[in-house]
Amino acid sequence: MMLWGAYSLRNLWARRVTTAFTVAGMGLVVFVFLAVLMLAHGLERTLGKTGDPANAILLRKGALSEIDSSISRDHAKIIALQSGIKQTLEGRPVAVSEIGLQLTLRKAKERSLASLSLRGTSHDAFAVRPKVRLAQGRLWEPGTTEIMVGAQVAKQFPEAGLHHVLNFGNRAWTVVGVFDADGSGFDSEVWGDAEQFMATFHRTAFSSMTVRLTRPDALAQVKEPLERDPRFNLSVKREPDYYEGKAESLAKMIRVTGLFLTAVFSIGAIMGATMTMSAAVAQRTTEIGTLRTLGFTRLAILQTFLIESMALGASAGLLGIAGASFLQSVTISTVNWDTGSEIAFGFYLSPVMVGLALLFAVLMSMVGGLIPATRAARLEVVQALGERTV
Amino acid sequence: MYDPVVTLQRILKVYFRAGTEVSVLRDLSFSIPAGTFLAIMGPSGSGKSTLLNLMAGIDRPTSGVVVVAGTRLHELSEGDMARWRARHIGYVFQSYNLIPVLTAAENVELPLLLTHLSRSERTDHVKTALRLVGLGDRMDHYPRQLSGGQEQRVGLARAIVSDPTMILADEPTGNLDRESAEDILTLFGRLNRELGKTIVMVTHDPRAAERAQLIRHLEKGVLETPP
Ligand SMILES: Nc1ncnc2c1ncn2[C@@H]1O[C@H](COP(=O)(O)OP(=O)(O)OP(=O)(O)O)[C@@H](O)[C@H]1O
Ligand SMILES: [Mg+2]
Repeated sequence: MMLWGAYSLRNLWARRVTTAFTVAGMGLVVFVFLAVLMLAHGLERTLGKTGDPANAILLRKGALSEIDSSISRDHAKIIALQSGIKQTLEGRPVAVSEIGLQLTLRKAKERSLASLSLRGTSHDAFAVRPKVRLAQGRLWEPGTTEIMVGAQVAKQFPEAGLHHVLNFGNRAWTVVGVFDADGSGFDSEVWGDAEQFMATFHRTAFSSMTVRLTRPDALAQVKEPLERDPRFNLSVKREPDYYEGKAESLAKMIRVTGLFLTAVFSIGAIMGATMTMSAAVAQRTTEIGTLRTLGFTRLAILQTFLIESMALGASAGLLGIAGASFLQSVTISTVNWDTGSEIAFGFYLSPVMVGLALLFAVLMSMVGGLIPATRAARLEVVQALGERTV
Repeated sequence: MYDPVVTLQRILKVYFRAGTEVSVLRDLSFSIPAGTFLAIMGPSGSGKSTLLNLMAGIDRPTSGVVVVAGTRLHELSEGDMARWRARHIGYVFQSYNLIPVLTAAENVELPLLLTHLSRSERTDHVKTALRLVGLGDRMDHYPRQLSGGQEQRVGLARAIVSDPTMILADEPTGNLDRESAEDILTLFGRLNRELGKTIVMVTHDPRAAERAQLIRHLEKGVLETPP
């Protein structure tokens, strides 16, 4: 009881200028919708990749980030001996005590200030985080004012590139190396010697410890005794969980504003589909009367116009997806609200999002096409035949 | 075979316009025996199209009984009426009413989409119908690539392709030149004589009406048999 799909497609082609405008408008909305999802997801992925499931991060109980946490030097030494923490062949714990600070830099191009995460650490950081590799130059010499920067810092801040000198804490720091953290949040950090940073910023305690577990499932073995020990007052988390949580506000903000915008735009797109399909119904009133005379039911007419509208939506969906796929090569650098420091992340497109975008587009066109299609189905045969449109 | 194919009893058709009643058909009763080629004539506004549309099952009388092909039409629901039309009625329009985005063959195939025929059976039927009207070589032409006479022949092929009980035509030659009109009327004659189709044709043109077996005049809502 259905007409061919080709009938709908050829009718869309017959009105190709109107069709193109409608598809373009609706495609733009799909593009925005997808860009929002991709951005929020890219951010979460960047931070979710920051950290290794085989690592645990130790912070003072109640601390929201490394900035407001502290672990004393004495405690750090004892904690490192906890069973469940991996050891090297020589029997040294694979653990690193670190201090987290903020550093304000001027962005060259935009002449605005940006806040970077500064991590005072030791070479053990590379043993704890095997995914972080030296990309250019060399590691800092312990006990000196040499520093390294993450790949994104080097990219976004040319003045913090290899061999450049940064001034902070009344001292000059030379960038001797660039590390690549595999697209994770570490790429947006500056690393140097913990002792030097502590001396410069008058700190006596570390902020956090990151330890490598003997096995990924050994978390409880470390977490339970340490969290229970009243001396330390610690909270132990799996490293990726901790970093992912740090993007929540920003990801939520992107989603809420983005989806609000999408919702507003989609009203326009739906109205566009309604207008386009109403024009189609008006133009083809006699044709509808003819089809009904031949024996096509009201339902068949409804389906035909809905399918035509949905084909419009599907094309718009594909257009939006094609456009959004180009975003994958774009990287955005902005302030992470949860940490206050700069973070670079990309647009990430997943198959689920492609499906969602297509569904969204088809849904918009279906809603938009519903009124005109219903009107077409409700026409009385004789009246429809009587209307002589050119 | 249904005989008579059409039986109308005490048909009343009243339109309400701007508060006033316009009665188009008044207490009209008549029947059409199977295999008849009937021409209905009458002045403009006399209700010819209205009458044809009642028989086609695309309009309903204000009161009265319409029995076509053994079915009491006023008892059918909207959906059943559509299915009934697909089975029993082939309709030919004055302005051909071909679907512009479909080829001649696709236009003719349309009514077959409402049957259980397979794709290849449909193609066979379409070819047969188009050859019958002399357009076997225009299958893939779009309506805009055809002349008016050719378009109407496609319209005729579409009306007969599903082998309906009856062919109804509302001024089928009204938009055609003499020669094309003759072609169409000749085809009607053949369908009636060779295939025994019941045909009801509304026309203004006495020369067209002459080609029918029977002529009836509709005047002021009443059918008259010519002396
Ligand atoms: N939907 C309608 N509403 C009101 N009046 C109508 C409607 N349809 C038809 N009429 C009236 O009914 C009368 C008969 O119309 P109909 O179309 O059947 O005439 P006709 O004999 O086919 O005329 P023509 O030769 O011009 O085609 C006319 O007066 C017309 O104005
Ligand atoms: Mg008429």
